[in-house]
Amino acid sequence: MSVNATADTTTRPRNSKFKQKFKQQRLPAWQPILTADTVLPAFFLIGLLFVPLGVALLLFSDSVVEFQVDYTDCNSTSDAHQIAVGEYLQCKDVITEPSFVHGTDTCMCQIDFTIEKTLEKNVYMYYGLDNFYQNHRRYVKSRDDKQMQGRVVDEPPSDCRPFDADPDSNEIYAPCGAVANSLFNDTLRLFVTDTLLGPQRKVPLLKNDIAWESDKNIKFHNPPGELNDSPDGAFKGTVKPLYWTKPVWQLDEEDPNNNGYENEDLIVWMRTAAFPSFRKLYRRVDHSKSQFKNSLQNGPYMLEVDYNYPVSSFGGRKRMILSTTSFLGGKNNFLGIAYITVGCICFLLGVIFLVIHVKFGERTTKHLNINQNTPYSE
Amino acid sequence: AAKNSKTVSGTDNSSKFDACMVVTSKAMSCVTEGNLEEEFVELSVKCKSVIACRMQPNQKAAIVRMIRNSKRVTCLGIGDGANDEPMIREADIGVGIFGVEGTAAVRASDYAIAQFSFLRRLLFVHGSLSYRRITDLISYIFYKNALLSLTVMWFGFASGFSGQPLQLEWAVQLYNVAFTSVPILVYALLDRQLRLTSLEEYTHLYRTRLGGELFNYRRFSLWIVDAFTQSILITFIPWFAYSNLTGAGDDDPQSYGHWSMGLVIYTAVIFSTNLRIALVFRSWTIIHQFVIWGSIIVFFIAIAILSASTVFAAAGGDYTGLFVRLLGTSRFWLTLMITVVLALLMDVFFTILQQWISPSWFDIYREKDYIQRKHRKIGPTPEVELLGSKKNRLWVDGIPSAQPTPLKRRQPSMVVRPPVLARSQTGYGYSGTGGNAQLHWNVAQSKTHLA
Repeated sequence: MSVNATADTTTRPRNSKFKQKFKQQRLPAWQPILTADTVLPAFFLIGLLFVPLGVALLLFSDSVVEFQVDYTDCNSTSDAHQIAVGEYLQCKDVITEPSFVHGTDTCMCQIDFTIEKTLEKNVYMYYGLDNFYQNHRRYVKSRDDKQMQGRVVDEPPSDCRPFDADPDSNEIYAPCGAVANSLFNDTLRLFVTDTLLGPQRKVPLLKNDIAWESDKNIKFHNPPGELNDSPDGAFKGTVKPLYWTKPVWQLDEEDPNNNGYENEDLIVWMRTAAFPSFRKLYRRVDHSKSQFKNSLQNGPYMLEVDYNYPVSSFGGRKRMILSTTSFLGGKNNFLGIAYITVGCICFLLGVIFLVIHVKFGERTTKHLNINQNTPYSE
Repeated sequence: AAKNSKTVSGTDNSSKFDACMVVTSKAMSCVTEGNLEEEFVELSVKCKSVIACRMQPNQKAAIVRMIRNSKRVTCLGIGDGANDEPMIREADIGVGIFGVEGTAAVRASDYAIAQFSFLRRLLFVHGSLSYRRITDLISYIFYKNALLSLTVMWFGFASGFSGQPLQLEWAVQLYNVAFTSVPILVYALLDRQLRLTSLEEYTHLYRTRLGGELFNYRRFSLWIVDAFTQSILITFIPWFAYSNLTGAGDDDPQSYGHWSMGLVIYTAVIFSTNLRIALVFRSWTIIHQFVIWGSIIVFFIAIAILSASTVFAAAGGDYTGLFVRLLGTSRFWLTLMITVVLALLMDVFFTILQQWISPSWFDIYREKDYIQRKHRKIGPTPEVELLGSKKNRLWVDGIPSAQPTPLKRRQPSMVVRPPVLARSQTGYGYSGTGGNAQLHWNVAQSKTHLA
């Protein structure tokens, strides 16, 4: 009379063997035993792989050339803003004066700077903002993606409040929300000042292909109709957002593909940044012109800014950044340093384990003698 | 540790009288009426075994109640008849036997077994396994949810502590449903620290489980500390890898955004939690492999679906176009690799250290089994005798010792007992040779049976 704890399979319909083993918890299993000959090589291998990888990543990051110009405190060039001979008001003060009318009044700065190192093709221009929390919860929420997909919106969407509709006329802002409302509206222009490189000219910049393709194709579409706010136009019944100086269908009147909600600067801005200090792609240097065919040469340059965007009220900074790219994107040394550090740590741990293994190595042979009657040592 | 030696009876075997106490129903009623419960309990724990016979059902329950109240121990009551029902219900763990006397006991019990001898498997195999599995189930679920929440908390440093979530709502809801739920389920169902046959053999290992060896404040807080430190690493390494960056892709100048950052961190969380439970696995079946890698693959599939259109957008967040945009860049994979390696490095280090320097008894026996199976050798112990078994089973003679001796297994080839100790109809079937059968639990039986 045998005691058999498992089910008798001969009298029942045959369960598949796997199912049988699964139910009886007798599936064949590999039991991981952490022996020295698996642990030590693993740690040393990781150490030996990560350190050169980190060095390579550092080299990639170093190959990116980046150049920044902070123009927050730049001075106006207009005589209207002159306070003394040769002294001009700062644009950031000019635009915050109550008499300044955004849209009609302007403040223009010119900043001379020198690029020390040649930037090889392709060169891109970014604008950078500091202390601007695009990742704040209320801010991120405050947008209407359906509106910007081109659907006709009858009611002001609640997420956009208080930037949903004009309080007096009840016309919906197009586009609504705080994100769109705070669209970056400085205009940056770049000029070469060293006539030896060529006559003083504007660096040709391209404004297309700066937004994500998926954004442009899927997320942002103009409503059907002519791009105006006439009764049969795409934006009928809407009004420009509160802080804008011109309505959305005038964002780029030269290129209808870049107008309305499909304006790439708007699309780039609508992709809210991850950190309070961020950079967004503004323009691409056009390398088809002969002077800039391969690079942006080092030398003196001049940045001209139509200063509109007010950042001083929250202590923000504005920058123009010129940068190349690499296999890993922009310039950031952290990955390289991290890999080198972790590689060294792993190597060190491998050494520690080697020492432990040598000191405690006889343990496994001792275990063969263990049985029921070995006294507890604990 | 000393606390591991807390046995059910509360005292060490060596301090017991070499005696067996027999209590009849009449004596029992004297005890209860005369308020002698304390003395009775004190005396009975000092005896090697106690046999109570011809008990009324309520007296059986009274015995269990007495022991529980005096000694504050966990009591197990086992029986097969309707008269055992009060006792089974009174005990902390009631085990009912499907008997010839009907299923009254079974209905009142927590666990029902078919034969008395199955109690051994119930305790030493299933009990031991379940303890470990449930402990880790509870701890792991707290760990993985803490980890996810803490990453969002740390990112608050960047978002002005406005409570901005890092991930799309859909992606977060699927976390506990699809991305991290199945491995721990498989662990709780299938993972075994030792082969089941070994668990039955080495019954003395069960003693190490008593007294909260696995589920105590210290071990639970270590899981939470683990979640805490991992969350710091998982948040800040991608943060620093992506901060002040112009383009994030392979020769791609275009700007990335908040949701890209969140997805990098989220992917690191998924990898870390799934690989963390893989560190706890002690038996890798095909199902284990499948669920670990399967969960990660399901995650990527889900992200691909969420990125395909704007249908899943909510509260300003959406992943449209993110899948290709992020997963196609080397920066993403490199950041992911370094984050996961660093997050798990500490756990791996301490696991290896613990296994090498202070292995638990289960680890030692696991290695012993492994070595023996590998070399097909039996440990060179004089007490061990191989008895007519084709498989590599260890049989240990019942040698009196300070340790509780395992009781003999039945095999058809072996004559186990003299006829007087035949297994009775009640299923009370323990037998032994040389008087070494020992009872360690107070058991009430419906029929008299003298050893």
